[in-house]
Amino acid sequence: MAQDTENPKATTGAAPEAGAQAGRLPDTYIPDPPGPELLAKVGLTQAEYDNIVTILRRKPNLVELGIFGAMWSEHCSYKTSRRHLKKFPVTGKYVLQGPGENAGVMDLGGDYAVVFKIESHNHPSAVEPFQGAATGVGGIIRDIFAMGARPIALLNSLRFGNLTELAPVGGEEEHSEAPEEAGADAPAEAGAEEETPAGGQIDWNAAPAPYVVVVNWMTNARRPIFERQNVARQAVEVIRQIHDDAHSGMGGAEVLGYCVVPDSILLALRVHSAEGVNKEEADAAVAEVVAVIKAQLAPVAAEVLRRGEQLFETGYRSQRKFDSRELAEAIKRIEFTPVQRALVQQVKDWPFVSSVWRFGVCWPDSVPATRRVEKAGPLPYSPGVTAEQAARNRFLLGGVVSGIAHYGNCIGIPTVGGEVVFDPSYSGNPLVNAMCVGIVHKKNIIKAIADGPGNHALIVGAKTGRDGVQGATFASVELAADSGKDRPAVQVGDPFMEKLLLEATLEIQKLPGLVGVQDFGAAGLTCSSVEMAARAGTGMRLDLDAVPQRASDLSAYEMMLSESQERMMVVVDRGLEEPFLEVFRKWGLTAVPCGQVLDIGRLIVIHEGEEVAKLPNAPLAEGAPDYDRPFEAPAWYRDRKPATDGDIAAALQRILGGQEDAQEDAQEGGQEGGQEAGDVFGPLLRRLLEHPSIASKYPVYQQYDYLVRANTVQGPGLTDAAVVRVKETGQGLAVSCDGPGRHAYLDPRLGGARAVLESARNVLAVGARPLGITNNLNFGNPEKPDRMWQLVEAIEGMAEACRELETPVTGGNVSLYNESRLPGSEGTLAILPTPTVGMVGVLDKYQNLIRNCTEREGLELFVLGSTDGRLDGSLLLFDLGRLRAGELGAHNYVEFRACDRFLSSAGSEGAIVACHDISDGGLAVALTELCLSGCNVDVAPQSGGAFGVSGRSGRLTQDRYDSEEHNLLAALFGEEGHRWLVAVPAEKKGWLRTAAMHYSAPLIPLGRSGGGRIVIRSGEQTLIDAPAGELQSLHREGLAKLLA
Amino acid sequence: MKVAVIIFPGTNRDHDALYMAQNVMGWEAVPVWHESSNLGGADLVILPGGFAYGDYLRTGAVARFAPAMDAVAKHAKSGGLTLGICNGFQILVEAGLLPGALLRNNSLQFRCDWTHLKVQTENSPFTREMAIGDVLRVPLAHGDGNYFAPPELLKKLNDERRVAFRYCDEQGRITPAANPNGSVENIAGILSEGRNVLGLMPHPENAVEDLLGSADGKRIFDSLAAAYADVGW
Repeated sequence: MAQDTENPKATTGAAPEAGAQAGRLPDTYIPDPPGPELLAKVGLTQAEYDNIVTILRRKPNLVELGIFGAMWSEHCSYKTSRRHLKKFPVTGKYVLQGPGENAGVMDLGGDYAVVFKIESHNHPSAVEPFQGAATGVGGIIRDIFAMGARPIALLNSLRFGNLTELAPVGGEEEHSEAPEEAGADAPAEAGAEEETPAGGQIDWNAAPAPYVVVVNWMTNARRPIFERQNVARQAVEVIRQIHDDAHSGMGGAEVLGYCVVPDSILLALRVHSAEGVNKEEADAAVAEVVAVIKAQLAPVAAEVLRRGEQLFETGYRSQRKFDSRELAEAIKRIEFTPVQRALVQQVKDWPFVSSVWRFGVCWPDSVPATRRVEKAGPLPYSPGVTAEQAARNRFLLGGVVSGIAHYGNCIGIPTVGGEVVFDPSYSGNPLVNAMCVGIVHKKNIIKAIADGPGNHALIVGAKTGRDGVQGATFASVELAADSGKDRPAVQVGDPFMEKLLLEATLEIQKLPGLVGVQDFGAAGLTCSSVEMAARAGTGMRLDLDAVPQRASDLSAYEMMLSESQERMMVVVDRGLEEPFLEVFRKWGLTAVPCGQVLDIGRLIVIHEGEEVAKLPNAPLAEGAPDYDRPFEAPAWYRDRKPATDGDIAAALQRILGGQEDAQEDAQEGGQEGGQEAGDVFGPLLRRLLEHPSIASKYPVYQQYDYLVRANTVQGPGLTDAAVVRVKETGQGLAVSCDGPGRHAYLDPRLGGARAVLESARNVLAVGARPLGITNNLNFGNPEKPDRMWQLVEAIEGMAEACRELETPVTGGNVSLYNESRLPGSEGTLAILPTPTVGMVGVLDKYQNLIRNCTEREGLELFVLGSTDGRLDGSLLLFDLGRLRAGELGAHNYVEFRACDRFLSSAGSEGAIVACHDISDGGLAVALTELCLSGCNVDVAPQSGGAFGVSGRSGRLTQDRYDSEEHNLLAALFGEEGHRWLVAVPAEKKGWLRTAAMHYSAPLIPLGRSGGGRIVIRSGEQTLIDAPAGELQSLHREGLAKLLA
Repeated sequence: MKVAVIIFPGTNRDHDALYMAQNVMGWEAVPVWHESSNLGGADLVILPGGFAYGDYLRTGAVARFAPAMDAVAKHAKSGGLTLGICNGFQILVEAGLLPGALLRNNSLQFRCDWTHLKVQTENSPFTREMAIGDVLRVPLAHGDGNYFAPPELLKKLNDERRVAFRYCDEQGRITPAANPNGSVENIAGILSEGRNVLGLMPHPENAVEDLLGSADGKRIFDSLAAAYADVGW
């Protein structure tokens, strides 16, 4: 097991093999056999070792073993993820350089290109946050300027455990307390549906021929009744009862199969009786079944009706044939069990679908109104944070932020954006993903190749020391409780040195004779020389005696694996070295030839005049094992269900505790008394605004210089993209980092896609066109099938979204083994799977950017995009409500593209004053952030009036939940769907309406900005009413308060 | 007007200063490498922000020994216009061209933020186009901007009206809350005795375009242009 590397014995040198690492044994010592401890130390398995022996046809010595270990580490070889990473689309018309080089390059049109990449430094930051984060920033900057690009922006995506103590909840068998009359008449759990007799294929040709019954019920408000869960479940219950009765000989018709679509029940029946049943008898039996259904469903359906609503058979349908397109539409909108899906398919393909029976439904005038509240499901385990962990998390946050600030500020590259998110699972294993963006003239792009046998390889920059020896291996195992002793595996950064290296590199790129440049990242000298040679199909002879050294007595093993920072390898045409050395001298940098390009594919290492390693280059670079690790979805995922009314009620109870009653009273008062209800959902909004994942990150970004280089048009602040100007072209680059861990946890495939869509949303919100992405996949231990499943699914989801949006992946980084020990237990806790996307978009003119907040009053506010009104995965339920369960809805790419086109068109028209994407915390938080001068909006306008969309998609409040309160909660705080909040001047309304209809982009009117208060209403009912300034200061101080 | 922008290894706002001078003000501006002692006949010398020599010792402590600094001192002492911004201010203080000291921010953290400056004197080539009490919106970005002067020096600076700018809030109130780094009496920038040298911590060169947040900083450069046109500095 990889964790065994953390065995204290291995590093204290108690074991003879391990002691060899410190140089006590000669580099050429051939361990035979190497023993498990040494193998673990170099990060190889026995099988990999055997493979190496086969490749070499001899046993490797210590240095060679170390080189193989580093090159075949997960960090360098992607041996676990490679086969899956191939699924990413990596080409496109703007791609100049895809994955495989120091960084990806995309065309900006004209003479310039943008170079960008994201990289993680998670494990070093967990152990030594300041230097870990600083060198992470340093590493990614080097990747950018090694391509010849001038770095112009930094972003970082950070994850920490909670900063305050939090008790774990859930995970036990006991059900959380359900309010009111819970349980008394709770319907069977949804799982029971699969036991219904619709399991097999229906034999439509058998005699007597089966009947298909369609019961259409709608309300007079054209609302499909079966979309309300209780009604649908009750229908299932009734049908099961009919089925059981038939089998017990009590009824006359057997249920062959059924499905419940939003406005209908489809039922396949066979009259269960002796042979020779005549048509009349059969019709009567079927009619009886329908009567039973009607009678039993009536009360349930009636109780979800709103005032003024009535149930009736949908007349419009009885005029028409039930065609398969309609059914297909219906199918898309609801969740099916596999059995239901199969049945619908059968019914759809069934030849006599057009001659289905229809039954009218009559409703009694009055039905008893009994209130049902569904029972909450069992609460899954939601990890907590101990006081000790919370203190550590605060220390890590402080260290990481000052490390980033130290490096980025000093080197003079603005840190313009990013995100900081908190979840207990990141305790002890923070994520530090740093992204850098640069600009390069196309003719100055430098490749990382070592071509031209006989050419010299210069090592430039800092001297080589013992720091970071085996960092790549360290990054590829789980962190242990005593990982602190691995602090020497963390490098130390010198931003001043890197600044010199940066300027010198940008100066040499214009000199004739430059062949290739690569920075020393993971596995230092080893990785750079092997990769540069492999790209050119050459080899490299390294003379370690020429390498400038910081410490004395460095062994060849240590020099090959040292990750001392601020070093680069520069390959120059033979005879043309002098001008290069002159530039390096000007910048005060040491540059010495230490390698020579070979025409054979060998890596030869000379130390103290002796050949200490001679290895074939290709197996080092490309021969790493390609693991197809087993993966499997966890049981909870297979059984996942959308949150029910009961789950939501229980979550609210956890959030508000005793406050809930008061809140309900207020709501009742508002409805009954018809007076100002005030601030019904205000307490929830306040909790969200103060939540550190939502609250302003100014305590963090005020430590970053986000203005240097005078290009920052929109700096850090809200979650939308930052915009930097490209002075050379007058364009603007919109850059955004997003890693929706919450969503990826609930559904890695949808969450992976969401990472891409969310960053695209941010880029679109500022008026830019998404160009491409880089990604950083942060996951747990891939040797555990459920973690591996998360990785595989997330990759496929991201790949799918990238294809849909035509934003190729130009490179990235994989960070696995992100797990930490649970306090007081043997178990480990994986982080939320966090696929982080760094997206770059282009604004043709930086002046055209759209801001993400405005002080203007009287602007018309719209929501662009639709939602299915679910609360699953929202910050409200997941973080505050501690409900780590639920089911996400599928992404609607058609609508996304429509909104994309609408926004670009509106951007060039100059129709939009401000635009903000609706993400964490939902619409209510977005309104508070965008409308600095307040707003007055209605989430359920009587008149409707949505453009570009019809029916339910044009509404902000859906009928997903039986409880109206929950539907309103979803309208305010739900995060489902891909939506933007848009503020436009009144005179542009007409233009927008036309554009929305033209592009079929849902545009839903909300209200107006201004008034100094955030007022959110649902018709007559006031949901939120509070001074904008007060809410905004909660938002501003939320994180600051926790850090004080 | 000819401008020289001094570049030390580790200087990082050279680009910003050059861009302001060339593209916004339309001046002739040249970078001057720290090893050079030739300012090329510049009328205005700018010491831009950054971390000269990494500032691993004390900010500006190493930079003052650079050959270019001898030329800067000569230029300044002969009455030449000299502007030290941020790290440039720190270097001018270390070099003894301006009095006082710049300590670590009282938050002990780097601070990057937009701030407001209240003009304290019209009597300088840097502020002659402004009125006392005018409020400028400019950004700052530094870790060591906490200006300190002992009481007697402070009195001298005040008596001679050599404090050019103080940190204030949006309404121009000079309050402790508006002080971003703990500077004594909210001092943001000071003038030399000859009033031809200005050192200030905030970055007027980053506030010369409205689209990037503010153009108030340009008023300092407009003043310089007017002073140059007037007096031929």
